[in-house]
Amino acid sequence: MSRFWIVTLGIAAFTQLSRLLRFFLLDDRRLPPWWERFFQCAPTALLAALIFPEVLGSTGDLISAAGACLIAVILAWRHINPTVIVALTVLSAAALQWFVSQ
Amino acid sequence: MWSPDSRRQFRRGVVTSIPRCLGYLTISLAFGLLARMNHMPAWQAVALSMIVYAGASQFVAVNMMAAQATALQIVLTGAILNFRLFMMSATLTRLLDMKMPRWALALLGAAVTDEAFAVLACEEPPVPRSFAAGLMIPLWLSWWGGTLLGCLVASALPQALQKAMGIALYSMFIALVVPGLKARRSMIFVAFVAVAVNWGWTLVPTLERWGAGLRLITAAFVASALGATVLRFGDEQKEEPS
Repeated sequence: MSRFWIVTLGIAAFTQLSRLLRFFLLDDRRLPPWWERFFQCAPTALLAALIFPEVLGSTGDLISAAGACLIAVILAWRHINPTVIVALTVLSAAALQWFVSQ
Repeated sequence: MWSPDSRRQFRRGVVTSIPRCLGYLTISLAFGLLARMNHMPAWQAVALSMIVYAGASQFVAVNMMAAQATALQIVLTGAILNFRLFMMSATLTRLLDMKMPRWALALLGAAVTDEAFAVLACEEPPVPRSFAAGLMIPLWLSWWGGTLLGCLVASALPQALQKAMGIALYSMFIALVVPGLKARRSMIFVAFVAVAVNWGWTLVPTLERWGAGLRLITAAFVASALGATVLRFGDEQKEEPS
């Protein structure tokens, strides 16, 4: 089986298990509070670790990457639509790259 | 056959889903676009959207596959990221009208997403299954339909933007995580620890040889464990990143 299918079916299996477990095990058992807090923190921790420091090398030069990253953070803080954030960040990075090369 | 009331509830679900579908279309369009930019074939991007149907983990999978992480590392990261759906499902089973065949229960359960949860949690319980179906089916269709559209748009992107596109995936991660930090300020501590461990790991050449996937999982585990030990989420507004 190719790597793609192992990844896709693997994530799908765990995701569907997370979704379906409570639909078929209808008791009111909860996770211990520490683990509930752990899994509340996990998405934020994973996404933050995905962003830094890799984002700084994503465009080939530090100035355009850091500048565009800052713009993305400001837009996201203001709850702008994610697709608009992606578009404006890429355009900012392209503009800063042009500016740096002049 | 469905009763007139079920049909009415289904229609109400479809109407409720329309604005959410537009939101899904834009994000899944970005996913299709970014998947193509990271050299993933279009059919794989659409298959991910159809089968996994969980936004953040799909973006992460594309990123980690491009970074040559192992399949086990990617699956483990996706599993940790999507475990929040377990807690949403636990809440939904208390809200939904659960008197339905097991196959219907399985289909509804398999389509639980952050958006669907947000809508269903605001309904008066017991929420009829026909309403839930009317809401969830268009959402799923728009998710993989948008992905397909994004793959098509990618092929028409100007060459001048190709280098700057390197930041696109990261800006999507920022768009996913920052609103959550704003809603729940104590999470800034968790994000800070994750970044510090992740960054610190890159400075130690012996550890760096283990690869980006393991570094990411370790950073997330340490930050989540520290967050779970130190933080109390008492009265803060709860808003999970999708």
